[in-house]
Amino acid sequence: MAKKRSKIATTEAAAAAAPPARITRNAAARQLAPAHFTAQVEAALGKTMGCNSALSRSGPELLKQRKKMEPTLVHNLLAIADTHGFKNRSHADDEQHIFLETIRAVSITPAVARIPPKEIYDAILKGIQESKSVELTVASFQLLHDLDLRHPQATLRTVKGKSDKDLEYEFIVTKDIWSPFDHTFQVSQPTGAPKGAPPRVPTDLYALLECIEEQLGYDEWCKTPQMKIVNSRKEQDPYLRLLQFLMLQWLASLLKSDAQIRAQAFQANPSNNFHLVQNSLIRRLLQGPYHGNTKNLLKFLLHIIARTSDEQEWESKTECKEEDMGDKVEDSNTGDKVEGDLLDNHSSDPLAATEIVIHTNPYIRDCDFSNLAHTVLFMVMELDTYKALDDRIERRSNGRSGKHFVDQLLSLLQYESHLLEPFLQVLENQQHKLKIIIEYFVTHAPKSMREKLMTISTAQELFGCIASATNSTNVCKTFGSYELQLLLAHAFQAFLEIDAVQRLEKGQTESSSSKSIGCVQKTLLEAFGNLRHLMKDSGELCPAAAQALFVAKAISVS
Amino acid sequence: MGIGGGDDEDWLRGSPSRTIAAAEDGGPRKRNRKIINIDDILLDDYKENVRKLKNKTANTRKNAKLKTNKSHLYESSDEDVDGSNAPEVVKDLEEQVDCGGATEEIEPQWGQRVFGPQKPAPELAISGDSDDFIKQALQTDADTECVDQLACSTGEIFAVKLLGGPQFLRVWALWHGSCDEATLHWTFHQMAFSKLKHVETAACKLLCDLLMYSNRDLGCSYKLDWVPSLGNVMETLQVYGYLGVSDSGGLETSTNSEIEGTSEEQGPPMNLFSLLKFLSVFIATRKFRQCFLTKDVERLLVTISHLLLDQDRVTLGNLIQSCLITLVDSFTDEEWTSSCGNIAAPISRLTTEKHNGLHLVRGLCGNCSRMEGLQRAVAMCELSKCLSGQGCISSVKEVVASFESVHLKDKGVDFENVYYRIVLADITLWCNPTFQGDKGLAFKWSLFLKSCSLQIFSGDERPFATKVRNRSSLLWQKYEHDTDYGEAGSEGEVKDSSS
Repeated sequence: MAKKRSKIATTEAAAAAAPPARITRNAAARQLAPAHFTAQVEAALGKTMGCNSALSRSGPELLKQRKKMEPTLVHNLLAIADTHGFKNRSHADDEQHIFLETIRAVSITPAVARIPPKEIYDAILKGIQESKSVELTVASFQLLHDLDLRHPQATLRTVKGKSDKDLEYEFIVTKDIWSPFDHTFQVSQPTGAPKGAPPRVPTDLYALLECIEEQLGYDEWCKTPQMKIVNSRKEQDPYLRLLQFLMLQWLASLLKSDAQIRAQAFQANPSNNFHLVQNSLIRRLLQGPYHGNTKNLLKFLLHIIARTSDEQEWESKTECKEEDMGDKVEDSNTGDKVEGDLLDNHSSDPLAATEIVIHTNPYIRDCDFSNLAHTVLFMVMELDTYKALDDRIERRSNGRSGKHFVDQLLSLLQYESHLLEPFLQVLENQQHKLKIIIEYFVTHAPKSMREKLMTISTAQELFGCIASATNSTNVCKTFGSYELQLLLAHAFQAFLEIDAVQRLEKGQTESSSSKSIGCVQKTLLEAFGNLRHLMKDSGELCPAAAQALFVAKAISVS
Repeated sequence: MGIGGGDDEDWLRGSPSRTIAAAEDGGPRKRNRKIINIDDILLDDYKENVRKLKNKTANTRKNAKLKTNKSHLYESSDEDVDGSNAPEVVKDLEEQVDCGGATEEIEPQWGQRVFGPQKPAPELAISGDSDDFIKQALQTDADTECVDQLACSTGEIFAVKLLGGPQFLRVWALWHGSCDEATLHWTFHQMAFSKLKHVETAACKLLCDLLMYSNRDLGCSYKLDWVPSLGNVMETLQVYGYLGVSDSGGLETSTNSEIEGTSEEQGPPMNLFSLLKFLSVFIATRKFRQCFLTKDVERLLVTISHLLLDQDRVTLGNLIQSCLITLVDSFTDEEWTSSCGNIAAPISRLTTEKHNGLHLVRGLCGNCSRMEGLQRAVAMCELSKCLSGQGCISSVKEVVASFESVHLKDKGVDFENVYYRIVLADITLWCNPTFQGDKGLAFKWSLFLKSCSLQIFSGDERPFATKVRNRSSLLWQKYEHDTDYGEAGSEGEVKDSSS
């Protein structure tokens, strides 16, 4: 692949005089890879942003120009959207469709597209709030999404380089483009009582997450990991569920595209572009309007994420009888065991079998909400990574540097430890996972161990620490055996994946790193051996641990 | 008894009730009866019908079962009116309503049956070496050394957990640097047919991740021993109950007969979601995979477009759109020039109804130039269909020229047809570089829109007449605005401001 030179300049004030940083196309392309692609710091910053449209934005699409929408056009468009006095709902929907179509025609399709002003966005959102048509709602969000792609607030603009092969990127923020977060920033200063009835679905991220969390039902969670959910799910209007999902998807995608572009610029020049990341929408939200509520926001996210595994249990409860994996099991008694096994070790709990959920809207699942919540949580955790990196560059040393949000997450997990399993399971970034696990040990371990744990930075050291029998005894007193197994299993998984991806990137074969793997594997097996020895009487091997041991064994054999 | 022989004053004073009473007496019957027949009976009958219709309308609101008020009102009136008394006048009125006596202006609801009943999922026979990941996992029940017996009872369950749990299967596969055929096959099967949603989504994620790692464009070196062919994908869709499209267009009738004897579940399972997600990633790797024939990708594009017509799948709109964009992007520039035309015709043949065609065209939108090109091409095919055999439209010039034959003053003008043609022509012409470059064409088009907006009376009661009027008025303004301000070009261009 021909490597074209490209560079990123920035128009944001402070870095205007900064020497242009150069990134290769290859480095930029890595951003398209899945979340857990490489362990290197530079790539780590951009990698986890997933495969969105970051590069396409710096491609030919950006050559399209834009201009302000003329006031006459705005008025004419708003006149179409004004369905006041329409008695027939379908006529009103019809008009709204024409409105959306016309916006698409003037703001997306043309080579010089008009930037829709706030009033137009308001009219689209008003249509969403008032409409009862699923089709119209989906079309409205599709338009909003396309508008974001066509008129992003933050972009990297391609400019001509010195030679044909050179590509230069310039970081641009277009202030004329409206975003729903503008409203959030303004609302932070209270201006009196809100007018009119509250909207059907909030456009404010915090309020929306609160709503979703409430709808998915978390009030009645029992606080021990063994006691599972007590029929807390509320009956929900499927249409409202769709609305909430689409709204969260839109807001999350706006935040993500903003963070992604800034990460790309920062990655190119970490020493000068930190302010870009500092000014990202998500950070401004957390520092500004949500400042006092960050912990609540994280709690909502964790609760929504936890629905994945919870759903697994509900679903396996309702559906595994139909699953034809029972083919191998002829005996009906063993059939029950199949079901029990899929329910992990919670099936013995009578509370788990209380009621069965009926999924009213088959295409919006709990795990879809969970994935979106993870996207938002990931962006929050990335802020810590940037901060830590900047501190390192600036040589600011602080024990808790870049751990602001991780600390908040840990304190939440301390009181709701049942959230740990779903959280670890959904966490895509293995670096984050390892960091969280180590921090979890450090935070909760007995004082005598803490100092030793503080020095740990790799999975190998962690397993070694736990493996020593005395430590295990200590640790077992603090953590439950289930929790401990879970943490170790996930740490092993994260370690293995980081290692595998590093090797893939370097094009190495598996044999070259087998030594280090061997050591880790040995310490892991030792740790688990000690654990099982200690917990002979209490508890059984948790599924994650069983899988970890199986994979450890399988790898050593191969 | 002569007519003049009766009581003349009685006749003059006669109120309806008295005349009826008189008629019963047999007095001046013949004459009175004649008058009653013409005026009163019809009037009474009509009033009676209206009263019953009102009652029935109130009932329908409660029931809300019938499709449209219009059809409902008159169908129900037939039910209520006694057969012997039902005058033909009511039927005549009903026919008049159907023929356009009223101005019903809402486009019919789009939609088509795309999926029939599901077929039973195929059984998966796992073959391959015992070194394959999945084989090893499946044999774990015998292997008590490495896994605690309490944790799993059968190998399959363990394998499913390995997939749906903390992603150990992915780690294991990544660690090896390649993935064997049996495991990939099994994972694809889980994604396509597993009824456990977390297993389905985990399988989809695993496949997508491995595909990403095998993307040589990104400098990755992961090796996959098997990838599903597009044939596999189409087979999966057929198991979901996809009714398919024959080469000549329309639904394949052969598949309908095969449906008999299958499970009763209507519509595709939720796995369709994962399948589409997987396809979006899978097709993106097309550039370096030899397993895709251009013809197959074209066929797949038509199939995915077909999903747009399924009303029950409307919430999948975003996913279908992103899948279509990936498919369209996967063509090389040379391929696309011929493929765009090859795809447009079969997409247009998916439906024969105008409103469905228009919906399909609207659905093919996206923020990329190829999608716009495809949308315009399909819109042209739809326009040709609207002309019903009067010719095939293949250029912008022909689009504009086709409106020359429309005579708005003509009494028999089919406004519904004109309406669909105007909307489709707008999609074809708007921002079309060829159209923008030809000022003569733009003038002609603008003139036609203007005449529609001026020559149709706003109170015209023919169906779709005012709709044509309003729409062309709006479009006229749009094109005029574009000419007025468009020429100013980038004068008003926004200066990207720094913060």
